[in-house]
Amino acid sequence: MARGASDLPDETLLRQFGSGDAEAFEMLLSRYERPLFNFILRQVGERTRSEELLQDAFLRVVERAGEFKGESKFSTWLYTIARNLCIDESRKMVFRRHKSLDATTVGEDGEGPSLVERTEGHVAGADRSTIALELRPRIAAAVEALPDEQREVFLLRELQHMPFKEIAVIVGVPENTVKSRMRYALERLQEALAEYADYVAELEE
Amino acid sequence: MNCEIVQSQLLDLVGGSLQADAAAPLRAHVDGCAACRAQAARISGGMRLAKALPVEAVPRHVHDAVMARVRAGRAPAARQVGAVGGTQAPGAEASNGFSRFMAWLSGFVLGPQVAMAMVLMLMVGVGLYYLPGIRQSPQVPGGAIVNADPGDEAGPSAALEPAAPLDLRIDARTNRLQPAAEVMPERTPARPASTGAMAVEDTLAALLPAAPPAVALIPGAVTAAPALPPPDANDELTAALAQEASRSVVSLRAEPSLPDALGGGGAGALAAAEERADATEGVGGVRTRASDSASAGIPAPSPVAQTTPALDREAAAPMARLDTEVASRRAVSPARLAPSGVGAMPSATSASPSAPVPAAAPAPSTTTPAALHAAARGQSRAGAIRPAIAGYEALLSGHPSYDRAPEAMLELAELYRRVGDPTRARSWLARAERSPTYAARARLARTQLDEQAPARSAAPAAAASSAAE
Repeated sequence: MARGASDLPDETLLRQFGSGDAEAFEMLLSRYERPLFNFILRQVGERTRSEELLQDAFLRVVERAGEFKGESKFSTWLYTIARNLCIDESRKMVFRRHKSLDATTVGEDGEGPSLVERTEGHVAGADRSTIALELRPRIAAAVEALPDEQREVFLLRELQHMPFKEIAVIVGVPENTVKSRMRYALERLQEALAEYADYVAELEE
Repeated sequence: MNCEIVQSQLLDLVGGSLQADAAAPLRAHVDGCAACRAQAARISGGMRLAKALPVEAVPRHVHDAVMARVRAGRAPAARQVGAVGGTQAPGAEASNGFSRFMAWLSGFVLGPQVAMAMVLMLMVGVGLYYLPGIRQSPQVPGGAIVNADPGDEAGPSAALEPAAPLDLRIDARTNRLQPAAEVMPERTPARPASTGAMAVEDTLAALLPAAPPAVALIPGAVTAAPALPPPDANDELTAALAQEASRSVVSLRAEPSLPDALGGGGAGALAAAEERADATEGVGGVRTRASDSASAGIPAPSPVAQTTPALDREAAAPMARLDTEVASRRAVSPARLAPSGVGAMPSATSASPSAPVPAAAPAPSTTTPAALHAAARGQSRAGAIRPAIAGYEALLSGHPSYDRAPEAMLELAELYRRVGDPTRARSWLARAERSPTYAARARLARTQLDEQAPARSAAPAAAASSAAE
């Protein structure tokens, strides 16, 4: 593998892999596996299945590496493959289990206060570490509860920090539409987790 | 700047991706607009929450599994890329071909088209196996080839075997297929040697009315020839007729033009009647056959048509063939039907030459040409050749415009031939040829007459030479 491969563009690494350099592909895998895995995970909602889909996505890249013409960015191509896999998977699922914000949490017997009830009034004096632990799955659940077209835009933007223009190519809609979806997603997320807003603001400060 | 434009750019404004000069007016509007300010706050809050979105780590085994597959499938990947880029990983040929074949096979094995094709090929194969022609002939130990048993499915059907050739005979008189009833296998051996002469006789005899022993089968009504003389006054005629019958075989066929004289009313349904004189049966041996009376819908001879004791009748059976052996010359006297049978028994048919001799038929009027014709024909039938010739001459000279004159001319020519006057016979045939209806028959008769003349002239010469020896 050539020196400074970690700095090479994705497209260059793919060409090197096409020439038989497996390490180049591993570099690509290392770059994209985590955001792509989370993208798939938030789209599908099941970890095991997300792991399988992640493998499928990269194996398709391996199989179709010769078809990549370099007309688009590698990330665009990779997420297009992953998005199509997620859509197929969603069609196979009878229903998706979205955890309701009002649903009871981890209680063994299913009883106890909801997360809203627990976080209400706790922001000021409650154990912040506990709240932080609770917030993360709440945010994840709120993201998974977004509409599909908003969620995928939100995930691409937040996980991959992808420009709206590239997101528009992946999703296949105009850039302004992508921005609108992103704005709606953020507002919806804020509305869903309003009780955590102050807490999050305090964390940033 | 309105709120709509501002709100469309709030995302970039809150995200800090706008330039300072572009962000300033937007920020000024948001500061003065509560709605836009609230929305900007929601977007900002959402962005803060988004940063708290947990990012899960990828399990190591997933990374390793992907890389293991990548390393295992590096050669195919290299092949595909090489196919595009023109390079190929060296040393990958061995596994390359097998993997390519397996990939190709796996892509088709589960295809429904392949499955249907396999089923179709199987069906065709089974069908071909059971075709007898495809089967291998069993080999016997001696090396001889034994044809496989085709079984019932391939054996020729009995219905397809060639049928016996049809016994079709063309009637020289009508140039039509001779009805089966008229086929007389025994005719040929009974003939004299001179076939040509017999043909002439047959042809000319066909032009004449049926001989007296002939059987007239007329459905509905049966009448005898009206001009037949009474038996007591006809001994000479009967003797001549018997002589004529024994001399030759005469096949009589009652044609539609004749029944006027024979039966009148049953013209269209006159059945065939034959008379044959068998020379081997002695003088006067006459066998009469009434054919196809059953097929014509006519019952077997009724009691009205009784057979004389002197006759040996061979009764035919279901086909109603009546073969009657006439043992005596008397038996060949003109068959006459009882007057009671004329019109009295419309469904009965008298079909025997041995039918009881009826009383003399009422003498027709001699003034009309038809009556003269009938009388002459009756005399001819009775064997009175000379009187018949005289009658025909009188008819044709006295009634030149008679509508059936050509027919009478043909009959007269035949009588002249019988008496050995071919010159006059040709003369009358020539006159008959003028009639479009009878021209063909007249020409045929004249041709046969011309052919007969040398044969007859040669016969005495041969006899003379043999006698000299």
